[in-house]
Amino acid sequence: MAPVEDGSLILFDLAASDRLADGESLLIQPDYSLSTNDDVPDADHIARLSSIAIVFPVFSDGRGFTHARRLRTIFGFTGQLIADGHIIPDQADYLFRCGFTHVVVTPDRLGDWQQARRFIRIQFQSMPNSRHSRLDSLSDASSF
Amino acid sequence: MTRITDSKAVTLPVLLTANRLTDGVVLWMAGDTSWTANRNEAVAFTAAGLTVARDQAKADLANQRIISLYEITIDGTGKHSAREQIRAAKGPSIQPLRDQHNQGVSNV
Amino acid sequence: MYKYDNLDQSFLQSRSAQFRDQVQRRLSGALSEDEFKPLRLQNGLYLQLHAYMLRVAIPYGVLSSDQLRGLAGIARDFDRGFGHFTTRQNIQFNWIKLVEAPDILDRLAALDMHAIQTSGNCIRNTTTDPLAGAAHDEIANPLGWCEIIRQWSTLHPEFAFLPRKFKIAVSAGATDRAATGFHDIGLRMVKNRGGEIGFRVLVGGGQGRTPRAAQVLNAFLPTRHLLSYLEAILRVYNAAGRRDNIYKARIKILVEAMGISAFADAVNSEWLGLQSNGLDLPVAEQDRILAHFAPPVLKPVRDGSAEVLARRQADQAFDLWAASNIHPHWHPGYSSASVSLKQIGRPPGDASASEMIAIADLADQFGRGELRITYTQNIIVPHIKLIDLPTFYDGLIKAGLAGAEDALIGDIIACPGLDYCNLANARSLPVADRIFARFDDPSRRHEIGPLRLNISGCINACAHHHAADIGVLGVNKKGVEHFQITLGGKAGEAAQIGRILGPSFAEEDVPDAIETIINIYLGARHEGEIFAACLDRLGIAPFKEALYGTG
Repeated sequence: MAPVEDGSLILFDLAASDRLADGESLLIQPDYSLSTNDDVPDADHIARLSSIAIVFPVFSDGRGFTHARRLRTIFGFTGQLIADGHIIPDQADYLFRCGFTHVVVTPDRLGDWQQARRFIRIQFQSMPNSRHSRLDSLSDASSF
Repeated sequence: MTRITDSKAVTLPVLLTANRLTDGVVLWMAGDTSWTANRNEAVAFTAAGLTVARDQAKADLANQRIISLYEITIDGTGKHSAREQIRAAKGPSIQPLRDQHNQGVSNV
Repeated sequence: MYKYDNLDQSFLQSRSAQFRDQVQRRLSGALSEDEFKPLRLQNGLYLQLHAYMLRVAIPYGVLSSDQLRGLAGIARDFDRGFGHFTTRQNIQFNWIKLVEAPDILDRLAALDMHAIQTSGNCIRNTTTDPLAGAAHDEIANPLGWCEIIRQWSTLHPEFAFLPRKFKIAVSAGATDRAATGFHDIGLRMVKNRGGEIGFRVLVGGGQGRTPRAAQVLNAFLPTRHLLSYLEAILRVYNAAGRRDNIYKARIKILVEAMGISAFADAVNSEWLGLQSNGLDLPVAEQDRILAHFAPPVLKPVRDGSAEVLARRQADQAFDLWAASNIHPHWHPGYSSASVSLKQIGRPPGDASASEMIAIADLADQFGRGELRITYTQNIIVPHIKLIDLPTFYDGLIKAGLAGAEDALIGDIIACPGLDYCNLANARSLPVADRIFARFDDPSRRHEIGPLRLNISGCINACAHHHAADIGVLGVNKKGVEHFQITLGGKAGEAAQIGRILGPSFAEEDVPDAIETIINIYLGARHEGEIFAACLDRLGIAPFKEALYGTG
């Protein structure tokens, strides 16, 4: 992941739908970075990680979403999950619901990222971070 | 004796064609490098003119005017593929269904 | 039918608002075309030859008469007064402007309709038997399960960017009327020895460049595990499906590369991890959705068979129509009737706005205000009393909609082809018309009997020509449109891919070629033997010889 502090990239907090302050950004550095093309590391390794970056070579490569969900639900990873590479704001909701906590974004798109999650407030699937679905009260999968 | 081939390739004339972003209408590039929906105003570009035309087309792609840009090579036979004939005709080769009435629809 | 509540309606409105914003950002340049394209595809908007095409979802082919009238209004206000019903039970409008698409989505949302995920590399419309819920041979009504799958697949965050499109079909009848054998996932409702209902799960079927019949992945999946199991399959595909070559990116390629055993192992291993994640619907929610599809309470009615028979004896046209367009119902006093959208001069599957309104009105008057779009590009009105069939037929005649008979040679499935589609090599619509003209006599069509003839304008096979008794495939032969003929495809239980007979034909020679094939069949068939059975018995050799002579 390119250094966030050089000013050309911003670390965006998906839950807050806003950028992190520069100081906070510096605290979030991935211990491990993988591309959508790679396999996730083994369970023992994951257990020692507190933040992982998943790099999308192109936004349409959806393997990053499966990586995130596997890390969260099969490997029980509870640290920070950072999406990097080519991603578009319209994927914000998908990223958030698959378990990403942060996205590396460019300043020119910050406004779009801030707005991205305001549209779809209802989700159908029973999974963490589904903001409002009929399944909310019925599902106990409420946190990572 | 070997023949020395001409190192300058002869460029066949090309039409530039695309669709308008806002409504998908088929467009051709006219002589002044503007876009026209009228096939008869399409101009075949070669050599230096083609370079200018291509530059303009790239700019129009970047400026949200057109999408789906491509080139049709004019090979001198005067024939256009079935696809280009249908595009030029701006509609299907068959008679589409005709709606019987043009009244407002109730319940909507 | 599923009734939208506030939550469902809010969702549609928000989706529509999101798309309006995306269009704005595209027009301003904030989104490039490469970035915008998957977003507009996942709202059903394709760029075609002449304009944008909008593919509106008709979930599992079911719509209300109000919705059909609403589509007619959209055809008039935003298009050229007609629409095209597709082999995936959706409807397409061909003359759409991008800048008007957000308004159309708003209009659809007000009808509880949308164009979500009808295109793009995501899970598409789940399709099923158009007689579902009215059929006489069902193990259970598949519609509720289709709705459960629809909700689960809608904006599923993990599967919005698959290697390629993904199509699911569900069938529950004694015969498979949903072509499940040719879908990425086919779900056949079955009963186990204990009488419990579940799904036989098929995977890896498809048409296109590399047609494949699906293979059995799981012989019996209890219904309560449907969603977690589907997640497992989709996750294996999302992670391992090829992304380097769009022609090798479907799940059928992955299943073939891994082998069904290894694929099943991968799915099971994934499924073990998923089962405990609360993905399967809680019973309360499952029952809430299924309750919308309880059998209709049908008024007792005296048996109308005598009336139908009397009219059949008196009216040859009605007789021929009734022989093929009436479908048995689980209630002996009722039926379902096909409205054919196949006629000379009509692109197969097209209906004008006024016709849509007429059909919607007939569904109100004689049915229960509900309609079904079929895989064969026709419309079915379910739940018509037998005694009402003659008057219903009269209504069709009055609307000019008696059309060709279901499942006979006139009931051609054809894609829009080169007249509309960017992908096509050849025009399918003129060929369909030529064939129809050659077989324009209803008595002759009945004499020939059940015969599926499908015409695809290119190898993408959107008209499922691989699954047809007689398949016609448009090819480009040195810049001229030509047509290849295949024989022996089957879309039902034992899905089978048709075989190419020989070199392609020029467009004007296709009707002769078809007629030659038909004449071989008529000359060789046993008493009551349909085309498919005769072909199974004879093989393709006599047909090949008749068309091309001895090799």
